Amino acid sequence: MIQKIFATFLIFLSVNSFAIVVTDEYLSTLVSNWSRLEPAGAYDFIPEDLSYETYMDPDFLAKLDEAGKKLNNTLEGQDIALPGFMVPIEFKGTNVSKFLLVPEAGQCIHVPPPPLNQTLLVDASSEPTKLRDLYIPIIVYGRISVGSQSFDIADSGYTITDAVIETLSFSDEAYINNIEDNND
Amino acid sequence: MLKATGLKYRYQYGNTIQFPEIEIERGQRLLISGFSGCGKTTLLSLIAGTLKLQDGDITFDKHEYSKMSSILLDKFRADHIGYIFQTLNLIPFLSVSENIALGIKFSSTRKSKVNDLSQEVVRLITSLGLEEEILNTPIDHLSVGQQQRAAVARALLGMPDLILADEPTSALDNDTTKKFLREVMNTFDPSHQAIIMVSHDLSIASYFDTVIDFNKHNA
Amino acid sequence: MLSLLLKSIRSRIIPTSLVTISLMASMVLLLSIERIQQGAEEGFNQSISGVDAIIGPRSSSLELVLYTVFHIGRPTNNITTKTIDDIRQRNDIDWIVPIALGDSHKDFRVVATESNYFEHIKYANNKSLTLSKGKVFSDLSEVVLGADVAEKLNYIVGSKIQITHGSTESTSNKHDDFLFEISGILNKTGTPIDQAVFLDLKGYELLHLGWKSGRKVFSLDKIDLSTIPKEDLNPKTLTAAFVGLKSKLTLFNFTKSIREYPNEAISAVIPGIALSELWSIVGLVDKGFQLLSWIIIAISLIAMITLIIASLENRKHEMTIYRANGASPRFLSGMVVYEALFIGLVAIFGAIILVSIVTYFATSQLNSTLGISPAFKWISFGEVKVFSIILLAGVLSSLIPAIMVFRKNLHQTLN
Repeated sequence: MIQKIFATFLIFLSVNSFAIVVTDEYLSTLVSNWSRLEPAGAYDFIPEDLSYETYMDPDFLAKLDEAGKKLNNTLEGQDIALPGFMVPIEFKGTNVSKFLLVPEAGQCIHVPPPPLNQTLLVDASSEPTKLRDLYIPIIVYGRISVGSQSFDIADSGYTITDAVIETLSFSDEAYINNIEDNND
Repeated sequence: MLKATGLKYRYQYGNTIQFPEIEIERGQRLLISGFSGCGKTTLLSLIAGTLKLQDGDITFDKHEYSKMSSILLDKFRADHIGYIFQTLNLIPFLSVSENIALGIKFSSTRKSKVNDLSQEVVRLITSLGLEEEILNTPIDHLSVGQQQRAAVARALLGMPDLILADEPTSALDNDTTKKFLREVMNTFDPSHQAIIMVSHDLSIASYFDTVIDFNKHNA
Repeated sequence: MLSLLLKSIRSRIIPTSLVTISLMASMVLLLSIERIQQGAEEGFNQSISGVDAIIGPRSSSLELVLYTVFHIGRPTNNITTKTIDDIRQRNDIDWIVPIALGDSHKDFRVVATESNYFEHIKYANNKSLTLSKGKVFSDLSEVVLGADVAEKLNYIVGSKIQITHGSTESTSNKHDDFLFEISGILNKTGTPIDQAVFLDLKGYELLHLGWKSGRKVFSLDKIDLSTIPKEDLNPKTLTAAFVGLKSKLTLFNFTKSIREYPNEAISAVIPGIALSELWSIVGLVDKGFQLLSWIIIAISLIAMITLIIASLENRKHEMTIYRANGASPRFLSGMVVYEALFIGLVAIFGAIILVSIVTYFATSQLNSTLGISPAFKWISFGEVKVFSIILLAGVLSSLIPAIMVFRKNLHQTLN
């Protein structure tokens, strides 16, 4: 009797979802997926030796803007995994059924918004996911579909469907390593 | 049926008791008298198998106690032994019939020997001089004599081989004692069962086949 | 064993019941807190759907969402209609619904807005607002009522009502010269919409026309309404505006532009983010209460084990009789464990029933104060987990008296 109770307890514990911890290499692979959202050559107009003058030139800035709107159609129907942060759009009860996935935290508040090809609408309506605070990193696995490039209709930009969302946990070591890398 | 030899028990507080040799066959009634202190309870507990043997042997129908684990001893006791305490034999929150039924609760062997529980219970208690109404009377409304008789019924239910009784008549007056013992000896089945009773009252010796005087043994 | 155990418990029914009730009550506490918080969160989340951003004066984003969506708190600043008209021209916007708040009718908030409110504002996963009776206001003298307002005040289509300036009843602030007619009543949504009164922005402006510096200068029935130029009836300031974008992906660009709007200090709030912030704050408080509840549960379990240990002395007699009749020490200690199990199960069963009752009352309270209606459920997976942990803890701690009984009876004389 006691053993049965104990076993059931262990099963319940295991059904809990915990944050996953990933290796640095795997995380780098995932992060690099964001660049796949840019079509090949979209940023080729950036010269090797970029001068400050060019950098501030309004035409150049306009070109950057335009490049940010370009979508990579070869990604249509592909499965992808992306790490990022959740901006809830639609709730179902206490869970989130639709959210925007952005590469950096706080992008809707302090930091300039990401280009349109670095934002994805994640549709988790079939299985709404737990609400995560804006600064909690997550990984989204799903199928990408590429919509219209003119962003004045609903079906535009990237959408991820059949999404599986995991909370990401960094070990302290990984975090310290990241800081050192950034300081290079 | 039962043979106990060389029984010696050393207590926590140092002293050791040596018990007389005991041998009993089915149908026999044995009275052991002359105990002081808790020696009697120790002896009965050794025979019942709740106390682990230190020195000596007990054999019951070819079962050797020294070779049996406490789990086996418990099962053995449930199947073959009925026990009667000096007082407070009955559990207050159970009815008389439930108390008596405890006799077969822990033994499937004894349970199988009883065809109709309520009938058998009635048979036993009437044979022991009790009225049927007693079965539904609350325990605290029974006299000591009635309680002891109910305890005997429990010990006899399901025909265990050996009945052990620890001074069952000490709380009864002379007349009740005589009546009680008469009924007990009438009810137990000499073809299958044996009784070992412990009592300081040697006046009841006439009800028994053999008497062992412990005092004489230890003198 | 069960019947023996039950009868034994019955003979000790009073202390056992007290301990069971204590355990039950502490579980009810834990679960009620959790359910109420969840219910509130669900209810809040379901109150708004399809609104991508809310434009308002630059202030706390949570505050803005609270007063525009939930009618909690007051707006302290306004935005100009001119700004909204300007923003209307943007081509990333699909629709925009301006609102003005600040008035009330008998403690129900008045929301002044355009008639397209009822077309674009949705709730609970894209459910549209529908009318149970009548139609949306088409004239500035008409109002639409939320379901609860109509029910509580017994209004029907065609009734005429007054609106108070400011948010509570105040005898001197009544616009008693002008009565609005109820043109329609909304169906129940289970959101704060049920407790609001809607009127056209022009009607709202008319209401305040006779007031300058908070004082009524003239009565409206003394003025011929047709002499007022139509443009004057457009309000100059608004509280906020709800916005729906053509493509949700442009959301961040949109909020950035609004933040950088040169002519006025405004910002655009994303409702999902504001709510998420709210739940982070609430979550902290909730965790505090949960910790407290767990402590109380632990204390109740200790009480249960103490009771069992204390009763062992009383049950020596009972146990010796079982022992004499062939019960093993394992049987005896088993009785102790099963008793703890039994108490635990009874406490859990009682807790489920009590929590359901508490939830029922809490839900109707949430409904009447905030207008939200969270769904009712008997038991959730998380709660089953909680019960299992408590039951397991109870059974494991009963091993203490169980082992005590076991060792005491292992090699013992029968007396």
